[in-house]
This record gives sequence, structure tokens and C-alpha cells, in this order.
Amino acid sequence: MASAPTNPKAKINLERATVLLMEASPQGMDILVQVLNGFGVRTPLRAMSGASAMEMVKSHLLDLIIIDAQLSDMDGYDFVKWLRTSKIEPNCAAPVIFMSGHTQVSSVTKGRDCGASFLVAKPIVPRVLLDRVIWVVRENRVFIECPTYSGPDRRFKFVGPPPGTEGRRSDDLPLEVGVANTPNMSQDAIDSLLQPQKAQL
Amino acid sequence: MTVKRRRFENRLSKLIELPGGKTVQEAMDDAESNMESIRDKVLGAMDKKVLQLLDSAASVTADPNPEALTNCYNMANEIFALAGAFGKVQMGEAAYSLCELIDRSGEAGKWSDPAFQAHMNALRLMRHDETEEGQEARKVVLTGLRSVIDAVTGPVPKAR
Repeated sequence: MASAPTNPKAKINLERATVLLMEASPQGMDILVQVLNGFGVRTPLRAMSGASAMEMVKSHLLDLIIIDAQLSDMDGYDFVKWLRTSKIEPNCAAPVIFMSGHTQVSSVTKGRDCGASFLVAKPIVPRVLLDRVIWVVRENRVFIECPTYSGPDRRFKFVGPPPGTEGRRSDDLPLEVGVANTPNMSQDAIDSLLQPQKAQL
Repeated sequence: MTVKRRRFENRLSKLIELPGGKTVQEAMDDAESNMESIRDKVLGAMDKKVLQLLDSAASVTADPNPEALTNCYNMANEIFALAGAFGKVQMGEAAYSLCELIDRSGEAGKWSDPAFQAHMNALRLMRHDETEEGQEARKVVLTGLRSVIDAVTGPVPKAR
């Protein structure tokens, strides 16, 4: 998982990001808006209901969606599932940070399967939320579409299939490295990899 | 089963690197100071929500209807989120414990009005006593709430 610590001196610019905030509680929405403004987001879009958020998905190009589990007219899990299967491109693949306070036992698998990019436990803490935004920025998972799931690949690790089973994906890594099937690298090529490189910040 | 794997452009990763902006530390500091500017307003609204919850608890009886419980659950969940955001940890824990009681009771098919009333009394206590001296006593109350839930509903159910 992209959990490397964030350098406090690193620069971020969210001024031009279009962020949709979805939260049914007016005070919860106030908190989110203040936090996102602090991060530099100029005017986040706000929706307290799933219906109004659906309109915004159809009419705006969204860079990030932050959604609460409970909206005024539907639950957040159903909204994310709708978004992921809506075929409204590219918004259907927009990063979604899902917030949840107490999670009902019956909702745990819904949370896993709805297609959110990351889950954040409430109460909202600016440091945690900013970390998740930065995880989203570093995100490079493929988007999966199949009859039972649409959303970012839920697997963060690519360590191959479990022992004793065949992998289901063509690019699953084998457990055994096996014999090399390409020529060895030349010493020059190896040396060039070990040359000091200019760091890109 | 057909599985399609696609890559979409991560626009946010390009936007965030545009010239200008602020440092991560500045972003966190600004977010925290913005939150402070709405602290009184939010905590005032949270207090009203606690009173509303205590009022609506009167409609919860020994055999409560699911709608009344859902209403209490939603209010408690909101109180938990608002209280925790502004450091009212113990109020948040009491509200969270009420959510846990309602959810696990539903899963177990059991209901205990005394357990529910114990949570209401705990919320009253958290609302009236925020003193440093009372902190240990409030901790004991919160531990008691957890024992009450375990006694009423049995072990934590498996996620599904």
C-alpha cells in the first residue's frame, strides 16, 4: 500500500482540483469544507443527498470524491457502486475516499465491495485525511470491471497466487523464479544502474 | 467470468504538482486552524443533538420499533463523529458504544432496555461533567458500557 510517510516540506497544489464532498450532516459538511479549504481546495462541490451528487457526477469533471457512509436519501456504499457502474467516463473511475463512523456488522463487506479507493475512519483528523489524499495521488491500481465488482483493484500486493494454486491473471508472478529465459545484463548496463542519479523531488 | 482491466489517468497526481500551492505542513496547519474557527458552532450543534437523542430515548421501550432504534443509531453516530473531531473523546466513545449496542443487539436478536438506559445516563454524565477530576470516573463508566454490551449481546459477530 502507498503508505510511505509524507514529507512535511513537500509542496502540494490542490487549487485547481475539483472535489465533490458528500455528507448528510450540516456540521460534518462544515468540518470537511474547512479541512479541504485548508488543504488548498478553492471551492469544493457539496452534496447532502445521493440524488444531487448524481447530477454533479453527470455535469462536472471530478478529480476526487469524499463521501460519508450515510447520505440523506441513500447510503454511501450504494452511491459508490452506482458511480463505478455508471459508465460516466472518466468520473466512474474517479478516486473515492470513503468515510465511516461506526460501521454496522452488515456493512463491512459492502464497504469492501462498493469500489471505494480508500476508507477513512471518522472522526476526521486533517493529518489522516491529507495522508489519504496523497495516497490517492500516488495510486496506480488498475480499474477492474466484472459482473460482481467495479472499482480499483482491491489487491495492493502483487506477490503471486497463494501456494498450490494457479494464478487467475496473466501477469500474476510465479512463486518460483525459475531459469532465466533472457540473456544476462552486460556489466556496463549494471554499472549504469548503480550510477548516482539526480533525485527528482 | 469476464474481467476487464483498464487504466484511467490519475488527474489529481498531475494537478497537485502544478507550481504554487503550499507545503504539506502548511496544509495541515491551515486545516486545523480552519477547524478551530468552527469549533463553538459545531459543538453547540452537537450538544443539541445529544439533547435530541436523550429526548427521543423516551420512545424506546422494552420492545422498541426498528425505526426508533435506527433514528437513535444515526444520531449517536453523528455525535461520535462531531465529538471526536474536536477532542471530546469520552463523549464520542459513549456515543460509539450506543451505536455498538444497537447494532449488535439487532444482530443477536436481543434487546435490553436497562443497557440502553445505562448508555443514556452515560451520555448525560459526559455532557454535564467535562472536568479533569472526573476523567477517571468517566473512564470507568465507559469500561462498564463495554461489559454491558458483551453481557447483553454475546461475542462480537463476524463481519458479513
